[in-house]
Amino acid sequence: MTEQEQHAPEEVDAHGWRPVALGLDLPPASVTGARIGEQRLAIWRNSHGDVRASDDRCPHRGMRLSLGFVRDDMLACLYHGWRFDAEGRCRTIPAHPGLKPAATIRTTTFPTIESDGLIWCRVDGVEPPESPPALTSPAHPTTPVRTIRIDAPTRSVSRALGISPDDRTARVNLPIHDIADTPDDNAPTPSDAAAMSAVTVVVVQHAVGREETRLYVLIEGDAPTTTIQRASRWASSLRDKVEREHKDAIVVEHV
Amino acid sequence: MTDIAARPEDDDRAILDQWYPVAFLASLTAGETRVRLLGHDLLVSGDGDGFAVRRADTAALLPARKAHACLWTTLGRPKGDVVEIAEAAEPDRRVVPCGAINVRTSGLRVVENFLDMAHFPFVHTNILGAEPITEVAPYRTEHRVDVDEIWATECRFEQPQAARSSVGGMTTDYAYRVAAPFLTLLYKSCPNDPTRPDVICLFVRPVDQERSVAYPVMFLIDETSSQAELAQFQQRIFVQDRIILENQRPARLPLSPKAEIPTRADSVSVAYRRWLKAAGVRYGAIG
Repeated sequence: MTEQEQHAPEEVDAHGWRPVALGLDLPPASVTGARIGEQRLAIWRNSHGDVRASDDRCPHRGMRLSLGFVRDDMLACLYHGWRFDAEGRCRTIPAHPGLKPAATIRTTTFPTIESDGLIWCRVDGVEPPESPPALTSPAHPTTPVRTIRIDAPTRSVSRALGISPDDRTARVNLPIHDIADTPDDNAPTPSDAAAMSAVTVVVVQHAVGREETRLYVLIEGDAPTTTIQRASRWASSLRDKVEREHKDAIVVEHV
Repeated sequence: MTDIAARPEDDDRAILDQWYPVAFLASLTAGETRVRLLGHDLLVSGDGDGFAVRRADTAALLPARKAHACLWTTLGRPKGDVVEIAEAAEPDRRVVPCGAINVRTSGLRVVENFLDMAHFPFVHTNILGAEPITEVAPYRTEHRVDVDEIWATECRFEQPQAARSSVGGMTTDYAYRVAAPFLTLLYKSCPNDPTRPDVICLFVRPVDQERSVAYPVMFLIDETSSQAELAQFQQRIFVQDRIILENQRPARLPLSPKAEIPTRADSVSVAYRRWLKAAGVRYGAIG
């Protein structure tokens, strides 16, 4: 590691489209939390499948909206049930059912796009926002595997994936037999010939903080459950490896 | 470790010249207990039936009082004694300390949440409230200048289970009282006595600007529930509140009227914030 790498503060870049969730992880009428740079977000989906993003703070009493719920296709705060529509405008204050909330009561919203199995959001205010990066060709839909949290900086994850720190997406060819983890799985039968070929795992990184990276793991094309499970286990071992190496690196720095 | 920023400024008299609970009397054992109050480490020592409170840094002896199931002290010069609660002296009251609760937020947020009825159906679902009955009827809020307290009266809320002793729903009458920045209590209609209300107190010890310990104490009219049942009922409610309190941003209570948007149901909260601002409170608050 060079001197510069060791000491330069690593800015969390908040520009452009950022992956904030696997579409799979956000069922209809639900909400989850995300973060892009310093901006904390409530990402929610209405009953029709549309995804929205809002500042993760209710303007009433500062409660995190990502802990709220979706009701009548609006984002509702857990504290007092105030509801915000797709444009962030408050439409319902349950304490006063007869009151029409003032138009000034609102949360800040951000553009979102769902594509290639991922939900993307941008908070840099660039309008009109161009499309997020395509992960695969349209002919090859992705199969989502899982979201995984790694307690290490993105540069450590990039190194383990063998990509440049500026590349946020890695494509890893995973021979199926390499990721089998039980002896039985290691004994291929002729009917497994197809499974012996490699699958392409697409890994998208997102820096949540300086010491926290989220990885969205997908497979290019369709994949059977067994392959999804194997890719998931591969991601776990990648996490364990990166976290172990990162811890060791910190120890070396402090010796 | 000394963290000066965790302490009030010397001229924050509205905070310094107050009594604060340091522990439930029942939880204090013989020997020394270390507690933190307003960023200061204190040592509490017991010697049979009396307690001494000292500053850990200077060993200076601080005033100590036993009242309302707690041991109290102060770092300043309070005008009066520990808050008087007339009902506490009634001989047939059950005194129920509910267990100290650590909350990672400003104690002012903890007090404000205690004054709030609008969250009952959402946070204390099927206990203190339930949808679709969410409306907060108009109530009266006042600053009682003679005692310098904030009061909210004529409050009513329809509740599925207002108290441990409730059988079925009832419309509960409430009165709220803020006697000091970190000290609040409520009077609510009692299922067992139509003339005398239950009294529930929330005494808060500000550990630092964004950490608190809440000491809930109830003075109840209830001959049948066990002490443990009564305490558990209230503890369950406070644990539900803690989920909210630890997820409000910022942790410190904003005193500027524009920082957060109130509605009519928040009139007591608005009065509380205004009163804190007028008193010059800065500890645990912003703007």
